[in-house]
Amino acid sequence: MHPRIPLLNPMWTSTTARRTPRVTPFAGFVLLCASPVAYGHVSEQALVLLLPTDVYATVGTSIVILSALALAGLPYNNRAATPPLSDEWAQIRGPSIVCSLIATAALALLLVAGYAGSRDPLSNLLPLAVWTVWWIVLVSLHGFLGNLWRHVNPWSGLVHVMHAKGVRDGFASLPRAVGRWPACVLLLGFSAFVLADPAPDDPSRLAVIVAGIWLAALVGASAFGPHAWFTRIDALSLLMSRFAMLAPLHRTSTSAFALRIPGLPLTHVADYPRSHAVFCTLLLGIGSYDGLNETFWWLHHIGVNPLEYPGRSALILTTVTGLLLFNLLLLAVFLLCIATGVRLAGRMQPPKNTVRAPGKVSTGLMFERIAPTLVPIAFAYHLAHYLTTFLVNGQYTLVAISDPLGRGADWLGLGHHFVSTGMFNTPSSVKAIWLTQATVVTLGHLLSLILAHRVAEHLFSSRRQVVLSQIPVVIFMCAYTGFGLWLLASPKGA
Amino acid sequence: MTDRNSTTDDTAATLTSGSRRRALKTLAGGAGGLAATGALPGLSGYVQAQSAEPIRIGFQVHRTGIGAAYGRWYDRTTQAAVARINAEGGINGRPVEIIAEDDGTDPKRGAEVIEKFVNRHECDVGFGTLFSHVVIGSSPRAGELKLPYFVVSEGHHVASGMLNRYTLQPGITDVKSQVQAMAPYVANTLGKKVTMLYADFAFGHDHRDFFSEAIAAQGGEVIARIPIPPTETAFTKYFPKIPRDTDVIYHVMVGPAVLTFVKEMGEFFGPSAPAIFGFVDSLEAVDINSPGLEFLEGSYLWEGYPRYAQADQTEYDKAYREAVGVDDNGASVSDPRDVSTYAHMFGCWETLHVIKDGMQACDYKGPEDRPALIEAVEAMSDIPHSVAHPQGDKVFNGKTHQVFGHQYISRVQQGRLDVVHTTSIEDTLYEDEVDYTTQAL
Repeated sequence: MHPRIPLLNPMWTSTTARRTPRVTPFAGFVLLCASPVAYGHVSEQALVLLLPTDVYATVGTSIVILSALALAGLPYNNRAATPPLSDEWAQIRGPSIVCSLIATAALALLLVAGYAGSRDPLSNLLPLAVWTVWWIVLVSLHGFLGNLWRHVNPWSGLVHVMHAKGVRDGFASLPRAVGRWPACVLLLGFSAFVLADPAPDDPSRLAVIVAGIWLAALVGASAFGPHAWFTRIDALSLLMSRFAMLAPLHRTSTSAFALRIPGLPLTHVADYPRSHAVFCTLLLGIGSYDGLNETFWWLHHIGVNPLEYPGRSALILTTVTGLLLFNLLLLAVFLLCIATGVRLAGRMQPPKNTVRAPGKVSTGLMFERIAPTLVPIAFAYHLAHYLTTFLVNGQYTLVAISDPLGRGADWLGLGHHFVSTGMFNTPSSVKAIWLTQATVVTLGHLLSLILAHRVAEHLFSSRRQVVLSQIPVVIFMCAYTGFGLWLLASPKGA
Repeated sequence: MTDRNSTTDDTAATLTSGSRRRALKTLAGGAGGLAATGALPGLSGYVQAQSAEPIRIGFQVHRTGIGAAYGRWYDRTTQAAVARINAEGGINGRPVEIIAEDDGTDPKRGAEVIEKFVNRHECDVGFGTLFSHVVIGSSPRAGELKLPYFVVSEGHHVASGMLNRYTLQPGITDVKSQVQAMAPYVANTLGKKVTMLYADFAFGHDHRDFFSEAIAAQGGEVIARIPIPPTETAFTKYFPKIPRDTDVIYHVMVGPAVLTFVKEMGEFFGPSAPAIFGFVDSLEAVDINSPGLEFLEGSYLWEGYPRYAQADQTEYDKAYREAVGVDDNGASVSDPRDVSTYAHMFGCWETLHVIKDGMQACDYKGPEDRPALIEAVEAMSDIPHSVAHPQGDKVFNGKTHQVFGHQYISRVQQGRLDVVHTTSIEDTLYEDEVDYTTQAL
């Protein structure tokens, strides 16, 4: 894949009369860093290859299979109404407005830092804030603490203030038929940027891009109204609100905090259109492809030697094409599983209180209801995929916060902190990291399985139908568990 | 070839051509200036330059992409070198400023970074590129923009003649000279019948070709060449292909499967293995005590610069380790698990000192003196062992823009690498393949 440049001066004679110059990676060192934030280390990879990951993967997959069997053995229980999934963007007030305004100011400072600060993406606060603090940390926190983004996004407060000042918003309307398709398109666009753009963390370039996105969202939220924008168009707000459904703590209607099964609202999506189900499937697709496109297996199949990776610039089209094809394939396979499940379950009347439209359970209906239960797997992939990056870039972030202007300040009292990757160099720490990732991936699949089973109980009126409808979905999820653990164990080279 | 000119007690470069007179004049002036203004360590050294612009060195660093972890150590070494240079008064009385630009270990971005150095940051020189394909992608642009481009890539592409007059590699030796210099020791000490196991792509092919020729010159022979696909992760099936009369196994495997390779090779041979020789490139930044590597005990590795402090450690090495923050085992002083890229990153340190010497030799004032800087560096020849060049003394070839130096062969003994042989510089020399000085500036 590398350019073959004719030797200008083949004076050196050898057994080969005319040599082709070698585009040799620096002595063959291969230390891996794929997406703008993904980080790998040859020691970690090498030590992972020495772990009995096949045994671990078998155990993880077996746990999911056994859990599926256990679920199948449970008595039928069409539980009482689950609180419906709702998006509450229109309801922000008080402290949330202040938080959002503070976030706006912070973003402005970060943009200045990005444009005028250090050119080093691991010293400049903007790329660190975007890819480490926001994309890794904040997004991950949503799965534990709920929808933080609703309170700290840099638009809502400003839109509220503008509204209070008499600036009219919501003057454009989004046809109902549009559904969440804009969010689907933007999600794929964001993923393409993360995976294929040659320089997603270049500070000044990122500043321009983030500023453009901020402005576009402000205009969009003003035009369509913040609720429509943040729940139907803005893919990242929708992503975070889906992950927020996994938070075990939630606020009840009386504003008290209560525990719930993580992801429970995802089982009650009767008011959501098919495009929402597609969005949830894409969440899994982009996360999976993020892992897949780094593997030796993938690189081999696209004709790239992972040990002399040619750089992102040479693979933009390949990466984007792969992203689209992988997501299409995932959608097709998942739909096939759903259709097979519906066929197995037979034509039965669904309970009246749980079905949007009366009639048999169609493939489309089951897809709309089951696809959101993939969100836990997508969230687990996010946690597992970025854990190693967080361990390294989190250190860079602390150093940058401690010395934001790069003038030798030490606000956090870190002293002369050398960023270390030592945790990737010992078998015990590498094993601990890998098993943490594998546990997270397995738990994600387990939770998805439980939620999908619950949805099936809502849709079908007998245990037999529930079990039959779930067989293909269970096979899909078990296979995906194996796939996810294989991704973790695979050597990577991009 | 013998004049030694230096502004410090540890930095010197011998000048050979017509620029010597100018260099001497410059150095005398510089030294006088520094003396007159009290050029002592610390910022007080920027005497005549209180209001002067800093020397801007564009650092093309692999912050992301496959070179990221090496970029981290190149950055650390670079910062340490610049701190030292500035503490000693900077260059020509001006402080040095590093402008780091990430190239994503991507050749196309590399060329863009070069343009930024010239058009946006007004850098005086470009410096620090590691991966060969990025060097090859960036060098033509540096040549077009006439930006002196000092690479630290180890590749043979500079000396092969495929680049241009504005690209130089004065701080690290190239892979051809390294491989060639191994042959005498391998043939005379380990054995003459060699079987090579190498990664089946350009990197491994270079080793295969360079070493085959070099060992033949020593009366030895490569009796089997066993290429291993780059994506391979299981190696047992390759070992039966090793001929029984093999004296030495020469392995050059890289990538994440290297521990598996060594482990399976050890399991295959047990205690009756032939002599095993490899390049530390396979294990750079990897703890030599990692599981699987116990099979390397007693084997031999090339090192560009010994990772472990040796019994005869020089003061230069000691000072260099201290400045970069590396302990006697080649790991970070803040985390003994964090093993450095010790065999290569010294190239950044030494290259920056060459830039300093070159700029002082030509009395570098600004971008208009870039051609003079090229000539001044081309005029260098003998580079003495010093704190500025802690890896060892060297000889710079102004025609090929490539430096030559000692290579080290270390033996794995009790979980560390002990140097058993240091090559002469003569062992590393080969016939010139280009004369860049004939190209226009």
